[in-house]
Amino acid sequence: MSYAIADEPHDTAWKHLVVTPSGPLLAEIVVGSWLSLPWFVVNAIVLGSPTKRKEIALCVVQLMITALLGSLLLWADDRELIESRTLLQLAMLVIVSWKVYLAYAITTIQQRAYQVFELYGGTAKATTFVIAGGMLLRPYVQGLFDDPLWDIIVMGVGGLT
Amino acid sequence: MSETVDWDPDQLVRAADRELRTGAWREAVELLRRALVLAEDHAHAHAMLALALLVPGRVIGADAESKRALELDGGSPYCHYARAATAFARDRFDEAWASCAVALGGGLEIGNQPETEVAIHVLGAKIRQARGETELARELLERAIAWLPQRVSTRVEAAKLELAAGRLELAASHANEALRRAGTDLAANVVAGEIDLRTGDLAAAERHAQFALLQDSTDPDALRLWAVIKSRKQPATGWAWRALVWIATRNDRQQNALLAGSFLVVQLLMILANAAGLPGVQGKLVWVWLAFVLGVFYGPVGLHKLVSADAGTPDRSV
Repeated sequence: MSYAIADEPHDTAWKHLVVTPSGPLLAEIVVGSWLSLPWFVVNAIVLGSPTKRKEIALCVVQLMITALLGSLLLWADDRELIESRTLLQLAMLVIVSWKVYLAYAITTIQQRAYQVFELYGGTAKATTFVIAGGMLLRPYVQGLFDDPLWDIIVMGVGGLT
Repeated sequence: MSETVDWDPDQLVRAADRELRTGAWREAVELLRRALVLAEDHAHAHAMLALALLVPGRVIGADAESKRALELDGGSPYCHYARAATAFARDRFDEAWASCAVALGGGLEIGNQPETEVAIHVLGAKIRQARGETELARELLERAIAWLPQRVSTRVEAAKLELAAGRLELAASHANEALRRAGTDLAANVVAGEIDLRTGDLAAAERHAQFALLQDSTDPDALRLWAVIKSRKQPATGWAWRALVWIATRNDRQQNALLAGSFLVVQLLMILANAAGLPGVQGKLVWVWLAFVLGVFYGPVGLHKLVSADAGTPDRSV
């Protein structure tokens, strides 16, 4: 039996799959939420993060609010309330900023457990290949549904410029 | 540690205290864990665990432990000391001072160690300084120095305080005293270098910076000092040194904020460039951003190699 300290990750059998939380954050930016959000969840679980419920809840919140903001934007665009392409892009940027901000918040929370994991000699898997693979798969994921809301929810900045 | 198998919680806490004084925070944490398995409501063990966790910067764990310590023994000066140290690490200066004032007012229960009393005074001085109360901070440091004049880190804090207050002679006297007692002390060399820099003695500042980097070529304060010296010596490339050091000394959270923030700024600039009829700018902005990202991620390793080559210190970055 051992005394558990609040910031310590729990033991899991998948510690060898842990990545630095900066990896999923970078994936959110250059690939999209379809990769980053599941990755954050998986990382929280394999890391044994003591705050994994909060991290998973934030992933769900990011998804739901993005869907709401995306629907609102498409509704306004359908009714031609957004007068120019630049304004539409700026509105999209607001949604992207929200997504990146939430990904940053999740990263910050997950980083606390990750730092303790590192402090006790844990080593992280490289994230480069996953992100590169995600970039290659990106067009296929985008093509799964022919719906602009899908693009807004799961993509990075594909439709922005 | 096998001989400690049958120790009671108080013995384990005392052993942890000894480990902590030598800087062995890992050993201290393990001993305190064992103490808390035996006596979960041991307030001092929780408080000491908070202090041990602060050494590697585990403020979240320290916060929980120091809160628990105070819940268990709200009148204990030692528990208040742990709470003050934790609150200070979280930049909560008012809360830190409220607890530190209690700690300063009471005797200490564990061994009545003068080192702990002095550490509380030094912490109090740091909190006072952070609140802009320089004179009161100086009083606390003077008392701490009178108590244990051989303690190098107190002299270093005093030198920092006087340097910040612009009293360079007094700062130099504290720094020299610290160096006389521990010539290779990293923090003492850094503060001595900063004082030399302020008085315009670049060569002496460089020597101190080199000495500090020899102890730890990744120390942020030593790197910042080195960058300032380089920028004074080579104004043409000085800005690059400063920028590299600034990026390389960010913590993970700040690095992520830089990554996310710079991305959004670049996206905004791309939209505006497009609206202004400058489509060619977009591609360039993407490359600038990618270079920045590489700088954020690989800057620290590159900087340490550069510093090692430049200052002639061993590269310990990898």
